[in-house]
Amino acid sequence: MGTKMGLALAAAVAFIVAGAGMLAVQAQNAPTPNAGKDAFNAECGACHMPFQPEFLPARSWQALMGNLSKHFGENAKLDAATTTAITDYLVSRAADTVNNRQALQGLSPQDVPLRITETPSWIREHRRVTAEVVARPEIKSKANCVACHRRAKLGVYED
Amino acid sequence: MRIAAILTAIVIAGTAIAAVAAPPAQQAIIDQFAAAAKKADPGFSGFSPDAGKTFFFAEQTGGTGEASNCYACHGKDPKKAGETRAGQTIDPIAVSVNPKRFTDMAMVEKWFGRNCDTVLGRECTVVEKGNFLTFMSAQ
Repeated sequence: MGTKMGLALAAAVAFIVAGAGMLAVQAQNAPTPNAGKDAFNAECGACHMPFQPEFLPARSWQALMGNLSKHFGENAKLDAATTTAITDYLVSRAADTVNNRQALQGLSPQDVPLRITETPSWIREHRRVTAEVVARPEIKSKANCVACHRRAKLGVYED
Repeated sequence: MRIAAILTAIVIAGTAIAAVAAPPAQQAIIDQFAAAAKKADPGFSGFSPDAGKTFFFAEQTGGTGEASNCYACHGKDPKKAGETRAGQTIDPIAVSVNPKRFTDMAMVEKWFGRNCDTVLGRECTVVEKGNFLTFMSAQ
């Protein structure tokens, strides 16, 4: 390698490193865009898989987050700041926000499904899964996605 | 005479510490509950691990949720993991196997706030909370 080329390469590397450094600084100064996602994973994920927000429309997430003290047979209330941060995150990734047509299929604008398992899309995809299968001790609940979809937490359901 | 009094005081203090089974972080939380209990009832004389155990296994009525006792989700052995109704694992609540339990007051109050409403339909009293933590800290 010639000295000239070596210098050019060094300059390029320095440029990339500096650029990455600036990005890192920017990320630190930004108003923590992942705060809502982190809170969602920690708080909601304490009791059930943190379902992908893309499975329900924004109106559903707002309804759920507005009534956490009556959450499918549990009081799941959170402080106001955490509730708002999580709601903002869910709405920002909701099915209608990101135009997830598959999840919205069969839902009219008035429908406010409170369970992903109530959506026409979920029901169709799971039409061959019987109640007996769901009741197995290692599955226990339709909300236990990972029991069958091992990579569900990564958003992979192709199995 | 004076030395004897000091020695006696040390022995009494030592006995009091020995009677307390909770590790320091959990004890700090229990102490806060104890101060609140004492304030509410000057006759308060300390928490009871036995009452905490009875509470953990008690069948409750009036809850706003599905579970009517603690062990429905936490399991009957506090040293083992429990499971939520959605199939998610709950870390053990016995401090001996899970030393992180009951070390953050905000966390403790969050879960009592939720679970007491779900299971009992009301807030737990400070004595119930203190008894519960005293029992679990000795497990």
